[in-house]
Amino acid sequence: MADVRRHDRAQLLLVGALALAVILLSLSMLLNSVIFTENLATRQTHADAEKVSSFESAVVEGVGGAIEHANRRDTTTFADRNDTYYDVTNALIPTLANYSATDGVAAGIERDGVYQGTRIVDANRSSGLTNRANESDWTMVNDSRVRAFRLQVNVSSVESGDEVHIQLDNGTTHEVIVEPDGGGAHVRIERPGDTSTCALEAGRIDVTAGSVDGEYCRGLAVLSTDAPLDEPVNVSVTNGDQIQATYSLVVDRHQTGLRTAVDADNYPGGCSPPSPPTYGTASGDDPYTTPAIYAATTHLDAGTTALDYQRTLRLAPDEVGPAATGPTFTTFNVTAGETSTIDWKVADPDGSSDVGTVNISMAYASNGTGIADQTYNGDTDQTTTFTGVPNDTAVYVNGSVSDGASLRRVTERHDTGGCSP
Amino acid sequence: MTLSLDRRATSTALGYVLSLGIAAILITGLLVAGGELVQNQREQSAHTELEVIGQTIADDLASASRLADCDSCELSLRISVPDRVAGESYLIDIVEVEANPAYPEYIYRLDLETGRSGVTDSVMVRTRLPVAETSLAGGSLVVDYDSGAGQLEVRNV
Repeated sequence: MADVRRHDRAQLLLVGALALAVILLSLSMLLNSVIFTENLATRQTHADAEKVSSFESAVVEGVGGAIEHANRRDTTTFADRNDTYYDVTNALIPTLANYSATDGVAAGIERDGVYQGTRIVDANRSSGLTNRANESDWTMVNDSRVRAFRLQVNVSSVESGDEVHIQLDNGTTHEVIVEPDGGGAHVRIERPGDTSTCALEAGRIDVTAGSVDGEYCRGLAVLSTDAPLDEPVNVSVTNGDQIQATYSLVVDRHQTGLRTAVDADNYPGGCSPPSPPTYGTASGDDPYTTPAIYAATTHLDAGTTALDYQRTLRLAPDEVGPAATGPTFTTFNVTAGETSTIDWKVADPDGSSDVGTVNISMAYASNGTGIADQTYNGDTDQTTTFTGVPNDTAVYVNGSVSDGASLRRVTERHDTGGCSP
Repeated sequence: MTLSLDRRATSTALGYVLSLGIAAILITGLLVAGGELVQNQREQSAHTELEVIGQTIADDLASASRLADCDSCELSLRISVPDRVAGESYLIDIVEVEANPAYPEYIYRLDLETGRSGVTDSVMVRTRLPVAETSLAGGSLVVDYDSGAGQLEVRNV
């Protein structure tokens, strides 16, 4: 008979049960971690990135709208536009910051600066795409980046008229043609090796947005994405008097340089400034130019529990392609005589002092022979003096500024004995 | 009748031996099967967890690359993932598969592997910026944008 006082009986069951208990426990812990993983899998992973990027979009929309609002004001001074931009954004920034705070994003927006350009407007509905002298073949813009180029065409005037060409030229000519289409009207876009058309019913052509009547137009869109609108272009018009239209566009050149360069293209033989010039300088004298905001930069700072993010935003509504960086003349005042002085200033759009090379030269208008020439490297504000200029002679005074990638030229014609009309 | 032929009272002993034997077989069987079940479950759950963690990191990398895609951008994104899967630590390798800088599009493979049991999983991720190839210990990570090198860098916290 077994000794009942011994306590090592039923050890098999005990050890087995213990081992099974351990197995079951570890199984439950594994299941627990699987449940946690499932929980992890269903969490939204990039919630913070999404919040921050929607905040960024709101800033782009808001500040871009402020630029457009400032540019639409009827004023002739840049100071007014600048003040308007600051006033509007003063109200906008706290609103955006408060709104983002309710979304869990601590945000800061700091305005960096604005870059001056020129806005060209023709608001006269009864005239065509003509200059101040009502000429229908003319240069609208040269060596400039163009943004927010919109036309509102009177469609019935297209139906009864001839075709109107708007040439965009960056070395290769691309044409936007508004022409009648058997009782209607359409826009035809001619690029090298490619022609396409878009029907025009309401008359709204947005060249840089690539749309006609608010709808996508492939031909126009390709002008923006491929060429030539992603780099400086010359814009000229042929047969502009054949339709009635209003238009507006913003270019990245300062008013001074743009007006002089366009006048030199349109009136090559005349003294500067011609009378009338290509553009008026105030609303009512259609078409006219006013200094405008081409672009603005703001610094954005956003933080959430998981994300810290900063960037500098450059805002130029409807600009296509990379940011405009070509330096331009902001002042070009010529005093012609035996001792001629040219007072000039150049500026780089990104605010850096790296403006490249400036060349100022003078040549006989009759045969183009050079009289004097001077080159500056990196100077932004100088007065060039040319002495011993022959009296009573018509001369061209040329300025060019180049940073290697872009070249902007201005040309004025003067008579050292006083310009006779 | 001799003693050697005496078979009386054997059923008690026999029953005892039989029940012990059967219990031993049963318990051994249960232990073996249970151990295997735990091992399988461990591997399976490790695999699932690696996949989920890989996809979390991939998603965060992709959204970081979308946000940081500018010269002036500064970004630091914290990714919190568990530092152990099924009770084991694990490693993450970021390996470049394809780079199309012109597009721009970069494809990376995240290789995740547990330390002891060697369970592996791979997740592909498509980004707009290059990501520095690196090996990381599993756990909370930080993605930084290095604007000088123009690439994202992932590091352990």
